[in-house]
Amino acid sequence: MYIFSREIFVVYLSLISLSSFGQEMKVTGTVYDSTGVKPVKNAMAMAVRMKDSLLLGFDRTDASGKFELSGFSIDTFSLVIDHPGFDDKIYYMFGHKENSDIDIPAIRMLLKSQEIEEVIIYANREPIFYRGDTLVYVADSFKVNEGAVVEELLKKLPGIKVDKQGNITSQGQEISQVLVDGDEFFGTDPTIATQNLGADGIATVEIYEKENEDGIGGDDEKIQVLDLKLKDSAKKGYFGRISGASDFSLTRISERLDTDPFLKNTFFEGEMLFNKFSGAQKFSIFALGSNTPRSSFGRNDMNKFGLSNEDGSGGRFWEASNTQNTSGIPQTLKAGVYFSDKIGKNKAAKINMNYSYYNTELEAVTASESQYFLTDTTYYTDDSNRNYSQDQSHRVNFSFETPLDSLTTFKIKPSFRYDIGTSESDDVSAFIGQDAVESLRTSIQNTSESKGYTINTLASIKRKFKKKKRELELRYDLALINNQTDGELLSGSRQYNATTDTLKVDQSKINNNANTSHYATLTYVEPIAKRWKTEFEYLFEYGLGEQDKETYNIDGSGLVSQDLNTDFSNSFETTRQQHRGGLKLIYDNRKHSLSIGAKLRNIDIQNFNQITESTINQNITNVLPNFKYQFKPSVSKRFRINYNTRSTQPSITDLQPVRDNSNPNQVQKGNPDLKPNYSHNLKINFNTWDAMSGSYIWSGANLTLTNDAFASSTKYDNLGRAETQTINVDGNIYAGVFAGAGFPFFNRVLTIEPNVNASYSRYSNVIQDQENTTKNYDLTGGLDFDLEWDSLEVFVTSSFSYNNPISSLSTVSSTPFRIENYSVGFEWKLPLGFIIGSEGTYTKNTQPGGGFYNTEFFVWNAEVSKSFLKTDNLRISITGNDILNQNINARRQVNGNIVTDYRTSIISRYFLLKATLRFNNRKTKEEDFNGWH
Amino acid sequence: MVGIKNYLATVAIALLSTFSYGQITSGKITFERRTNLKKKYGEDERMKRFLTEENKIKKEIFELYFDETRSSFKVVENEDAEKGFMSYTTQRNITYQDLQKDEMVVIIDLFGSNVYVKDSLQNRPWQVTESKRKIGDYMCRKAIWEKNDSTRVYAWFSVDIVPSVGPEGFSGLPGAILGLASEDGGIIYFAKSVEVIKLPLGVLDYDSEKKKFNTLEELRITLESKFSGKPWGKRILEDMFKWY
Repeated sequence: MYIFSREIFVVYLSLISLSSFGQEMKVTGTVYDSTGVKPVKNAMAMAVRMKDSLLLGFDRTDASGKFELSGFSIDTFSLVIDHPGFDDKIYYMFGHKENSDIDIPAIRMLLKSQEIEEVIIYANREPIFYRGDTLVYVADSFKVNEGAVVEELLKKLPGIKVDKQGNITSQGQEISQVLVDGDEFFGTDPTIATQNLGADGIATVEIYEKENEDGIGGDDEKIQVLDLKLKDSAKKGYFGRISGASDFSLTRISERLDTDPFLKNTFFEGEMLFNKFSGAQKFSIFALGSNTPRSSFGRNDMNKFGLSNEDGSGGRFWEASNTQNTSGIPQTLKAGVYFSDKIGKNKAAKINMNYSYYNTELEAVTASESQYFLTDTTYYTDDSNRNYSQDQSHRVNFSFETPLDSLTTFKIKPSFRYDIGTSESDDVSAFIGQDAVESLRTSIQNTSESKGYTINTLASIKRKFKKKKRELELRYDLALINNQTDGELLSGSRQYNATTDTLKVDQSKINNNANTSHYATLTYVEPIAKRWKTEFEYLFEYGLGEQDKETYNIDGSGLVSQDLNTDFSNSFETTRQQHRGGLKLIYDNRKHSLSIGAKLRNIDIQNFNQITESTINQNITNVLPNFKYQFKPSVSKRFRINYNTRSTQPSITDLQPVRDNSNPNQVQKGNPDLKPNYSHNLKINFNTWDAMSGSYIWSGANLTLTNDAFASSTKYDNLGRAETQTINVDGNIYAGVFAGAGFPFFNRVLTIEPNVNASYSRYSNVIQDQENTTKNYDLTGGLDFDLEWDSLEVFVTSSFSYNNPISSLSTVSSTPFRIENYSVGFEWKLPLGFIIGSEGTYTKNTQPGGGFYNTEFFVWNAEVSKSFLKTDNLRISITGNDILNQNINARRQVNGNIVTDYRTSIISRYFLLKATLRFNNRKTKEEDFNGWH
Repeated sequence: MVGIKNYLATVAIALLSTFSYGQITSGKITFERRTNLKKKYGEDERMKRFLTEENKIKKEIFELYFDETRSSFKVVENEDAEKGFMSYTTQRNITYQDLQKDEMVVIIDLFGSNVYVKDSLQNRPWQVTESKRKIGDYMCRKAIWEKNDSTRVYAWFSVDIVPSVGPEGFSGLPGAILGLASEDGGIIYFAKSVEVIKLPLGVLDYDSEKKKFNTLEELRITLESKFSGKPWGKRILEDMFKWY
């Protein structure tokens, strides 16, 4: 029943008891019954010392429900209130000089049948307590500076940690969502609430576990949620910020091809954000433009501006990957509006909509060196590549959720997106033989323009029944993608042999892709005993994918031929039908939960080639078993085992059999015989945390075994040009173990955080029809130190990683390499509103044999800022990024017998003068420094 | 509909039990004491001859009468249960407690004659553990008293019985002790029943006329000097003062 591990308490306690020698404790309280009105007589109250369970004293309540415990020295102890008619109540008392006389004015006992276990901690004047599994902090009892934001409050709460990026962990576990009064607050980015709401507006901070709603059909992963309950006075307001930054053309941006002289020579950042909220109604408008590395538009920004429902229906559908090389030189504009509200009777229906516009440009220049180890020879390629892309996107999202009656909920979530993009790429490659003589040189130029739309919709009806725990959900999902790309390929190659051959391939291409998937899911949960229930799930999928490729030759004079080049043209259609039935048995009690089940699945895939009029039919039946066990001996300790099996279907691009020659040196070819893969996944996790000392341990192991895994089969011609096809391979393995801990010392001023991570992987691919197996051993260790005083924060982090890849085809590519990372930094709040901060990171990659990858560099950033105005809300800062101008982007990729070292030009040194004005309706200070952006 | 009826019934029972759970402030607790004679006389050659698997556990019944401030604890004589030497294998003290006066009276049977002890209630440092068990209908918490480095005594007390009373003059826990045991399990007191009855007149009073009362310490010193040198003396003393 006691929540915290006692060993750790002893340490904490001896610190306290030293400082509090010679004073006595007094604890008084009044006990009421479950109505909270009637005093309870003869309830037993006893104080039990934490370190050795010694009974310090006890008392019985009198007729007015009062008890008094006194006559023992200041200590850390549990106060147990026990009466046979009610559930026990436990308070944890952390006595110290300022906290030696505690009165609990109203202790309301809960009926035994309510099964809610409440544990309360008195470390401050007011308590932290557990209500069932919910950890509750009463905000007012933690002292923060006047005008402080929520983040500062969170940093004061025992057991909660906020890192420099604003990520929150509780009990060493990540908080996935920050809610305000149970609802999302301008999207899922936690910092929007924690860095903008005032700490004085918070009544309580509550932490609990919640089902992850994004899952479909019994994906019952739980996530940790932090819920900020607002005081009534704080339920209305606005906040926002305007900021601008520039380097006034003092830094040269290398390689920029832009002709606009201002854009070419000037770094800038601009941001505008305005949020208004009134109860459940929220409105937000934003715009952001920049050409610094900050403009790489990450998921974070998306969340920050309330665009989280752009994820469609939970991100479970395959979507055309638009991963961008953010290591180039970007320029970004994003803008949008967001609105959400609760409407109807009792404000029970939730409505949410937003529109946003994105315009991103990216310019990347990459140089790479590859070494190819074939059985009979080794050769090299030297590539240099310049990429420019511009993408525009309009996105509209809507969601509506309403109860139909007291037991039924209806939800619909459509989203629409329209994209326009252009891209250009120039690539020059040289192929060099073993004898260091260049054998081939190619030049490839690709340009394309694309447009397309994506529609994702989810509609669901959930029904609960009078019978507790019985549930029914009907859900429909639609995923629709349609895009068209017009492109041009201009390529030439020169072969250096006896007779120097030149080959030109100039083509015009039109690609049409369309994919529509419908999913219908029925989930039914039926309780079969007090703690047992069964879950039945049925899923039907109907999918249709079409891919048309039209390729026309362009002759020497630039005229496009009217005749289709059939070698590179195709019309391909895939029809999928999936039936999946699942049954699961679930056991749940306060400490243990267990679920075991299996899904039976049949997929029928018809691949129809309209040009050859041939059909390839695949019909696959799988059994997908799953098992899950969780042991939770206390709220802060958790052990989990999770086993499941998954099967992913191949994409239409991997299936369609026509060659994609957009890079003639690396031709891609589909494989209509490709089967879905099948993987076994096992995860084991253990977490433990101690609220008062703040120490935590997390550890775990992962194992994945994949059969029919998607892998590449590559054939090289005598010059080293590759043709690649996706195939199925068996026996891919990933196995890893990891552990980490945090140990605070000196009243949480110093935190030491060690972590270790080891993994083994085995992957196969095929090269020249020979199977190549790469085994990789990786060992990584790290040690972090954090020092935190009121005005000064210092951190030191270090990590060391050793990798040893061993490839079965070639021993040459099997060279171990090391990566070392050390960084140190501080942030110091000085008088008169000055803040100085600096951070340096040293990276060293060691690799025998040289190459780009064998490198070391030190990136040093610094910032000085000063706040102005009475509220400190105007802040002017000078930032230096990569002051030593050393930052590089280098990465190594080992793919079977090919070792490629990449190096991409990125923005390194630049300085910015920045002004940020924050404002809110409270006319108080807003959080203004959030680490390095 | 059946479900709802069951539900209502459950609620009704829950409510009833709340009220019927009125806490007990006076009554009678009947204890059974089980003494493992083999453990007690372990290496004593003479006793070994008499002790068998059948008779090694000696059972005795005691009654604890109590009200809000006082209690008495004495054995219930059982005519045919024991004969001869067996009646001398265990010690049967009669104990009176007065929680208000902080007073305890123990009447010790010393070879057939009574010795009187009057002392304050023993102040034992108790450790209250997390473990709980039910004795009869009463949920009890386990507490431990470390008498010395080698001896620990376990007590299960129930918050439901308000007075801090217990067998053999044990007190100091927030509720009556319903189970008491030496760590090795050699001696166990276990409540067989708890009755809320009107107390027999005078059951909590001891006869204080013309008695010479010793404190525990005085008696210990007297007896130690008397028995010193006698081979059985040490054990008798241990037996007598086992709980203090």
